[in-house]
Amino acid sequence: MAVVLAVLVVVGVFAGSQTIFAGRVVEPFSELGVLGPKMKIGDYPKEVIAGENFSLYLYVGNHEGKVMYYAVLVKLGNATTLISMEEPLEVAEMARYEIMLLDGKNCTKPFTLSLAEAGVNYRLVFELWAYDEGVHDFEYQRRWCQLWLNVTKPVVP
Amino acid sequence: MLASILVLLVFPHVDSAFAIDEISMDEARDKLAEAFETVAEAEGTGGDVSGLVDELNEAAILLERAEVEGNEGLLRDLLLKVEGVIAEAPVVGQRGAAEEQARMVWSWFVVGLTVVLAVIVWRYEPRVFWRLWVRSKRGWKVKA
Repeated sequence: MAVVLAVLVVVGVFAGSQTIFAGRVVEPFSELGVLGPKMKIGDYPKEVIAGENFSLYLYVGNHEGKVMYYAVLVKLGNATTLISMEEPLEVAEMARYEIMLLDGKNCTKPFTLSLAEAGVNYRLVFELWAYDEGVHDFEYQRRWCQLWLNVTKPVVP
Repeated sequence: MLASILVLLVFPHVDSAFAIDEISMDEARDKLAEAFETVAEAEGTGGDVSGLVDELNEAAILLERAEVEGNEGLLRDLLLKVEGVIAEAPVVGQRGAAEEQARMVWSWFVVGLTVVLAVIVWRYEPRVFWRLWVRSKRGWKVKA
């Protein structure tokens, strides 16, 4: 009898906890990544030609417990650019990619960029922003990554 | 004035066509954001918004292409998609709320049933057990 009672109590507690706690996300977070031209981490271009397109992939993941509207802003800095975890870069965006993701979903999106001016130690900075329904605008999510690039002048035939 | 009335009578959709053509990129982006808010609200009430999210992602791709190509037709398609999502989201949300309520009722029913069963077992199980035991040993004879 005690065993049967114990089993029933455990089943009851389990069923009750599922009712109360199902679907809650304990530590919500978002993911941002940049993948190389072969859709893998690594093999990133280190040198590109001015005015010529080069391809990369953006990876965004949603673990916030709700549907999210993300925007990835691509900005160009250099060796002296200060990047803060708290504040976005105060530079005009050169590209913007938007995606909506359900909780638990991720997306890998190809994109193509080109840089007009030759130079060394450029920093291609990718910032993750998300739409906040409370303020009706996008907010910086303190997630960013960067790619160092040298841009060479095109060879004149 | 007569000419404009005649135009409106002959071309009843002129106003809506002009409204779509006049939409700017910023307005299209605002409309997309508005649609997202309705979808988020529908999800909050338990609705399955996966189909709506797919529609909005297609609209976001149209917006990207419209920015690059400057094609107004893309903005028109975007607006149609977004308006469709804004109309459908509340329905999805209501359906989700009803399903969520049914799930909650079922879950608490299972919990209540478990508690009732536990009480019954605690109250009657010894009597039932021993009755069955005696019945199973009915044919036995005690030999001194």
